[in-house]
Amino acid sequence: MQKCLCLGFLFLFLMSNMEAQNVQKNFTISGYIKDSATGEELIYANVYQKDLDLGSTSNIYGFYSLTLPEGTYQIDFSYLGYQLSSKTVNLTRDLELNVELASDAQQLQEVVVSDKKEDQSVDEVGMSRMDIPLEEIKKLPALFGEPDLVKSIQTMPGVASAGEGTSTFYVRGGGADQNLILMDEAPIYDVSHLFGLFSVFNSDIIKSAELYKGGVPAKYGGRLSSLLEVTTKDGSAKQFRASGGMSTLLGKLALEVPVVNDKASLLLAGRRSYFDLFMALSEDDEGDRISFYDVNLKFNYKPTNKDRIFLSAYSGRDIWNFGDDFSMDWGNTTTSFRWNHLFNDKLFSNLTLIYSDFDYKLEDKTDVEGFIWDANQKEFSLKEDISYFVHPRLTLHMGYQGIYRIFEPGTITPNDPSSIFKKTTLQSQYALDHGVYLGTDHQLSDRLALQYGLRLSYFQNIGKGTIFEYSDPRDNVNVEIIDSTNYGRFENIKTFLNLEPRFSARYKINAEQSIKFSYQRMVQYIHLLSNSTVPIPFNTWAPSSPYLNPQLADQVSIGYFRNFSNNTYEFSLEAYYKKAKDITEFADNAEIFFNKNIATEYRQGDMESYGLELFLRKTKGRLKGQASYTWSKAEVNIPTVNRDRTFPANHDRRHNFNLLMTYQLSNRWEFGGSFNYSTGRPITLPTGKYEFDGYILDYFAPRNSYRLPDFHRMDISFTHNSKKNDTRRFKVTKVFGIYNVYNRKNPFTIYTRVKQDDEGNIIGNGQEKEARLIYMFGILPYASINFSF
Amino acid sequence: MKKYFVLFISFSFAFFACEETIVLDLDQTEPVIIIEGLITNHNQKHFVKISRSTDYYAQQAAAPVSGADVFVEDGEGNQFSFVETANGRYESSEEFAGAIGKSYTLQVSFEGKTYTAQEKMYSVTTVDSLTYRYAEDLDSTDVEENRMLEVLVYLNEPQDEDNYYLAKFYRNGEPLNDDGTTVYYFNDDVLNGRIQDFPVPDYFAFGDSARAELYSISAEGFRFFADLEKILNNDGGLFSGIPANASTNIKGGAIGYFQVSAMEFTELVIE
Repeated sequence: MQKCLCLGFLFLFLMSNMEAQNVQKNFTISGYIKDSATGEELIYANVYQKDLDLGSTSNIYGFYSLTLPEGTYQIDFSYLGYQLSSKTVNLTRDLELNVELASDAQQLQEVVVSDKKEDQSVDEVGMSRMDIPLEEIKKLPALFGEPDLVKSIQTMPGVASAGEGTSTFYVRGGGADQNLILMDEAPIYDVSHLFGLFSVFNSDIIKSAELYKGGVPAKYGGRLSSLLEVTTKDGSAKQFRASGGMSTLLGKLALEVPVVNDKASLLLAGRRSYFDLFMALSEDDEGDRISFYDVNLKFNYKPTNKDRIFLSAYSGRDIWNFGDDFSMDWGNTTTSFRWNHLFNDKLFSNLTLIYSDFDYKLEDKTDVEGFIWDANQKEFSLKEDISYFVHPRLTLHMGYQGIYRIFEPGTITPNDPSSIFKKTTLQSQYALDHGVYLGTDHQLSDRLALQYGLRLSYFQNIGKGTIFEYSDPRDNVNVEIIDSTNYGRFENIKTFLNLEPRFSARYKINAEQSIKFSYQRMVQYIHLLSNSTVPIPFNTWAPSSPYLNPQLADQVSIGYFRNFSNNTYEFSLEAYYKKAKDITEFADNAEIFFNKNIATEYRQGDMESYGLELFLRKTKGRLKGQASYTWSKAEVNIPTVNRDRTFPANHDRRHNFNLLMTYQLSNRWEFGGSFNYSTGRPITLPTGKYEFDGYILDYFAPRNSYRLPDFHRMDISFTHNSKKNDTRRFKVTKVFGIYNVYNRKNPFTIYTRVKQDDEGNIIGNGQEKEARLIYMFGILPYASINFSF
Repeated sequence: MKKYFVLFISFSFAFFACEETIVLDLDQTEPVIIIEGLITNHNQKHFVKISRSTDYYAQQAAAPVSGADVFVEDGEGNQFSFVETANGRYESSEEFAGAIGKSYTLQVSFEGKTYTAQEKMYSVTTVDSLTYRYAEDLDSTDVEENRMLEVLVYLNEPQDEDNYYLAKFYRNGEPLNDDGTTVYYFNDDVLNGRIQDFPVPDYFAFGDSARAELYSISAEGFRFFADLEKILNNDGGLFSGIPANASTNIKGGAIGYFQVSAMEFTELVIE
């Protein structure tokens, strides 16, 4: 199989070389595409030459490169939400052309912006890729009035939510840990604030967000199911700008500071919840406080026309205090440094240094039971990506990423002399994670375009460490260690090597229709130690090791893409089939917290999922919006778990329907509405009960054999904008909304207890049981106000 | 961990969530056999209980099983027979004391089926003493009931071996376990061996008697009681692990546990 693929690559390379030789004299036009007001680079903006029907798109740094035969051309630069810019160029030598596009935000929505490649969904080779429409999100209803990226992702076809008010999402039957979430190329390990009510992404400073459900380019690896790539704004290099706002639960402020005009800029943004202030006002305040904050900082500098430097940092934290007795906090910190360099107009290089850290801390401040428990994981990463624009029909991408990973699963330290605890540390684990890749964007003909590539991943679980040999590694009860081996620093404990082929093809039937196919193999070398439906901040990660195999998934997707009415409507239909092996699960009733022999709790098995996704988006006119429907199935079989029987994955949802819409009511008022419906989450319920030593215990049916009732909810919002065409820079937007308009009691989970009255006193004989349904939010009005200048 | 975990979950729910009782539409399932037995190092009559599980919404949680053949062997040829003294409850016909280091085998037979279990008795440390003092952090119901004292446990835990324990606490003979939702099981992985001023759950009034019992259990027993605790405190598998049935040391298709423990206790009458 792999041999065939290699031959295939060779063949395609030869073909592309032949093509290159046939073309006469070529020159390259290249540069950056930017927003004219802020100087912000535009990602995936289109560059198009109509007569030759040749085009290109800017990369995530706004850089484009287009090679054309000698001649004079009109070249169109366009970007959704911006006015088209046409430039006439006389191409007798290689040219550098930086283009600035004007946002049409001040224009009336009815003005049609451009006449070109709005057919991106039909034309692009990639499939299963969702652009998250950030500007639209802000006009849509949002929980507590705070627009949230992850909540929007949960409404995309093929994506399921773990539950209302959570920031956990599942892509095409994959687990919550199978999403690679990158913010400015740095991975974020826990995206939730306030157990998921908000995600860590500050919607005011996000420039673009894309979710890959399939067709992941060879450049990326490390997770099985999806890639969420979030890029933050660079900040205006032209003039000082500020924006901010207040919603029901939090306040935020973002500043954009030009440091050197057109050369350097600084973005500084922060959010903080003020939930804790309300708690302090409560009559029965016992000192309980929960709060979170996050801070983003980005600096970008263009020392020369060929070099750009970015430094971005994020730090966010949740802090929960329970009276004087107990506290917990957790958060992510990331830093990434990037250096873009143009070796020449065809060779673009990006060097990235990344640091990412997730940590949590629990502290019991009482004396006898006093302790501090902390755990963290860190990674240091070096990445070099090179794009070589061979000619307009062929671009090569190649690169290397090396990651040094440190896992510190936990230390317990007594914090009082009378504490019953002793200092105890779980063994740290280390890994080196390498990936090299070669990928191509290859347009074989006007109709047929391919993206293909190969990623080679090599994972080293390394010392320092001691590996125990268990008489039976699956016996998590009578753990018997028969031998142990010590490894020195950086000494290989176990290594894994995998080839990950990626392939996407697009065949254009005509200007409005295309058919696409993709295949990908993804390998995941790190594993989330969580056995719940929604991971909690105290779940740590572990590397692949002698007792934990890498997870591996193959996915094929086919799709039909069609645009209607001059690209006013985008429609797509995709089907996928995914088969994964060595999916990480845990033994029934596994002890995953502070377990020195957690290796004996690991269980790995197979997952199979398939589904059909329908998607319709309207991008123009007073009424905009999208509708999606997903039919899907995901099943898991893990030996020894659930008595070896196959069970529905926690994220198995048969039907999922989402409707989002915005409507321009007048110059100043906009309406937003959303509706979603989903099959209930699978749940494990008791069918019987028994008594042991006075305890009344549930006897459970097989895992996930029941379902919560269906989920459905409608939200509405009204947005009031400053006057259109207003020349004042100061703008105010007010949003009023209602969450859960018809007050549906949507099930969050069900738990059981011995029958009790409203005060919590046991009633009856103490042996009768009852089930309690927890639902999250009833009807919830909200308001928020945002400003910018 | 459980305490903090429950705090996290209850806090997560508390602010926005509401709850209500619902009636589940559950399938009928075949009852399972539950066997509960306890042999200690005290010279007394020991018991074994046999029952069947009931439907989730049944009045009673156990349907006693009568007429079973029950005996325990100590591996040295001594066999202790058990007789039914109440419906589903079997007691050894004579008093005997289990011995530390010995393994005991339980055999239960009825309706043509035989269930067995084997368990070893490990040593246990002594509960040195109980004291009491006025408690802080009382809530109004404690004050109403005039229960304003906390009882403190003192003991030394041997650090030279891996030990597993089950603790039970009583007030005036009534078990204190948060209305049947907490199982006090622990090991000594993170303990420094010196347990002092450790408060017994719940509060006491003058005139109350307090009793603390400490049982040695096996690694298997530790897992079983940990499983019980998880079953009693799961939230439907949302933030807590997906619920699963408890492990068992009973062979033959029954669930439950045959516990063999050395037990130490201390009592205090608060005057």
